[in-house]
Amino acid sequence: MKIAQKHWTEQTGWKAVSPNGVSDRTQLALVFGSVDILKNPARLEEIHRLFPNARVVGCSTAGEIVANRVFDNSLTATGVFFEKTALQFAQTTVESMDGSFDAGRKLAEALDHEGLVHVFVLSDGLNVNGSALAKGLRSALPDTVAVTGGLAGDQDRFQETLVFLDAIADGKTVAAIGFYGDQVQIGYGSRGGWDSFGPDRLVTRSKANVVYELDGQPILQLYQRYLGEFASGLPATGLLFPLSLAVNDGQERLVRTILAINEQDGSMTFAGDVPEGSFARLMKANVERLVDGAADSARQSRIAGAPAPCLAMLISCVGRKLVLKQRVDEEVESVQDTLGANTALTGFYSYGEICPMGPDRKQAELHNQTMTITTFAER
Amino acid sequence: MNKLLLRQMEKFFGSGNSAPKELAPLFQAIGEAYDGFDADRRLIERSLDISSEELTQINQRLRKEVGERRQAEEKLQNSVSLLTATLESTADGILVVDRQGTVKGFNQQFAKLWRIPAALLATGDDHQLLSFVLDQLVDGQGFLDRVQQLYREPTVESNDLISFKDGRVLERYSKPQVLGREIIGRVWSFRDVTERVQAQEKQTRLLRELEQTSQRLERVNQELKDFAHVVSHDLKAPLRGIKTLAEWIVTDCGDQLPEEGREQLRLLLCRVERMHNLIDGILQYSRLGRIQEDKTPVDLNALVPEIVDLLAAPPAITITISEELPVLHCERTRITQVFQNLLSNAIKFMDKPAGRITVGCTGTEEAWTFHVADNGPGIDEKYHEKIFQLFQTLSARDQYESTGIGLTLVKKIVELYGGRVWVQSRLGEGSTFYFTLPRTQGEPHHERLQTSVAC
Repeated sequence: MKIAQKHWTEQTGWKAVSPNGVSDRTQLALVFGSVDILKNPARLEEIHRLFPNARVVGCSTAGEIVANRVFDNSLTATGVFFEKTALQFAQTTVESMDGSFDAGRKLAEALDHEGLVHVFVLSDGLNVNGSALAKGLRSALPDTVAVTGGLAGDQDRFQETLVFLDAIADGKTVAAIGFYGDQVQIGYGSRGGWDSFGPDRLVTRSKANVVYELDGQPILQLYQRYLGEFASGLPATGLLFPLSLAVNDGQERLVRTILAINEQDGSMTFAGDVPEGSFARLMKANVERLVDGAADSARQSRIAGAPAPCLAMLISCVGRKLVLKQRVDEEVESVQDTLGANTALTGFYSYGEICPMGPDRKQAELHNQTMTITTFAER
Repeated sequence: MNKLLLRQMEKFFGSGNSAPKELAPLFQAIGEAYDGFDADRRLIERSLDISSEELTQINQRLRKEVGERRQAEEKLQNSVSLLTATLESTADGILVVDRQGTVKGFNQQFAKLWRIPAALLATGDDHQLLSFVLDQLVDGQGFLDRVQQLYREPTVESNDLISFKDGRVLERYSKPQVLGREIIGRVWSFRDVTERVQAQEKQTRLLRELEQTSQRLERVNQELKDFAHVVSHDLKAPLRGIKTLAEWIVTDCGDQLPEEGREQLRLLLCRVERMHNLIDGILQYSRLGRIQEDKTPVDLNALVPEIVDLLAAPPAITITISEELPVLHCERTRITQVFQNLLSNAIKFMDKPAGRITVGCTGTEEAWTFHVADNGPGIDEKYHEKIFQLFQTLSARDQYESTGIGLTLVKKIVELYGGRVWVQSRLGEGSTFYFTLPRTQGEPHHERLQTSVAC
């Protein structure tokens, strides 16, 4: 397994990040960048020239992760050459939130199940219900296949996200990569580092991922009250107080982050389902706990007894970036420190992460506000 | 730019503007970091304030809820104590079971009725309890079937009797126990009704015996009635023969007989006549209730004068009708017999030179009260009841021609109409016979009296 990483900014143009040049042989190029840059056809053409035999898969971001740094308004392309692993690709479009489950199911059905060990998925970040997408994938995949991935981002603007396979297509896209063979070792971990605070709040009115009322009060009012002077920054500033959701009878907690607000009916749209009757708590974060959380996630993604992974895909929530601000690089560094210097890092700041609830579990769930890491190595 | 940073720059560089130009982006970043930290701090402080305020409110609400719950608990304890007292104060044995038939509660009376030893109760073992109970019953299997049926149909209420081998009978009620909308079990109550059941059985037996007796009586009655009729009828023919023969003797050889013989023949004819009247009376009496006559409107103002005419009282006796009499809806013959008998008695026994007989009537909403008053000899009070009995006469037969049937007939007829007859009299001053007739005469009287008439 070999990695070749390139990075593009307006100021510097394309620059190599890693030295080993296996560009001609790479089968997969993972591309992350800001919406504006991705929309320029010249850039994607350049990537196809850089990796002429690779399928190009990528999405727009709320920040690009390259090596141990975080960038805004840039473009990163990571060429991956698998020596002993076969890949399959699939993509589909989603008309509306309601089509999310079907999109997941269609993708899962499009991939051959024979020898399939892992699915990596990138989804539109604003028009897809991540919970339903994960459920759809689970519904059609063998229980032995884990799914990781994330929802595309759009800085802190929440206006338009892009997902593409080889070329940018019309419509809201979800793309998936299937990994085949018994030589590939894929680990994953997902940790947040947020703390719940304040009272438990009953979700008294919600529909799928749209929440209207907590404890009988409009949810938007609650957020506006908590944010005070920062309420005008909604929905982005809402990310400072994600919801912690008790699931499986309170045995486990999922984090839900805000995608949109509706001033008319006082509702808020979250990246995944918030079922009526469940209990939610507000969460807050501090830099240290988030950085620790990222390191936890990295540790979780290490496969016990396996050598350090060759590549780690970091999908971290835009909400973390808003809290960490100038210190955002620290969480990527802590991942690099944990995985070791030989692991190449790429990834992006997302509107949602998809990963099983634990390292020994396969069933994918939507997460928010986490650092979700997928590590790749070949025996 | 951040105020703190500005002050620091003034402190170290003299003024913010004298800092090296190439360091400007660095200071910019530092300023933003300062601002960011400030903003974070403000936000966190604000959120903690709001959060603690919310928690305080929740705390107050919880405290209130705890208070309310405590009150509810006290109420509940009250209810429980009331329930326990009620359970133990009732004479019924009460058992509460859940949907599976597991014992959930009972009162002491239950244990007493079923004679369940305390040790067995203490085990709470349903199967042992049930088998102990079944052993005492006449029909254990039937009991068990019913119980199982009721567990299959939890909504059904039941009420039946259970017979014990020792002769006791328990009444068993059961009703589903409902919590909210759900049936969670069944309440059984048992009451010792041995005495009641035994009394009922005795009553039933007595009723059956009574019915048999009354059927027997009716048969005897009918026979008697027929007998009276046939006998009276058959007696009349030989009597007529005797009369005819006696008359022939008087006609053919009356003058050959000594005076004594002629007197004896006259007496013979008198006795024959009396016997004839007796038989007629008995016939009339037995015919009462046998022969159905239609009820018609009878104007007594017309009927009573007709009867008076027919009776042809001696001129010394004046008969007056004192009031306007009503129109009755009744059998004409019967009411005629009543007035005829009363008036003929008054005429017959009149002992005053100026006899006065008055017929009158008063009325209430329910009934008419008629009277026939005379200034005759009067009747000793000790005979006031007796005179209404069959064949009772107060004077010697030879003094007045009387069968002793008339008043009995009056009494029967009046009673047939649901009325009453009695006499008020003082010896030597006269008598007043009263009788009442209800304005409406129901059929039941008729039925009842048909039987009594035959007696």
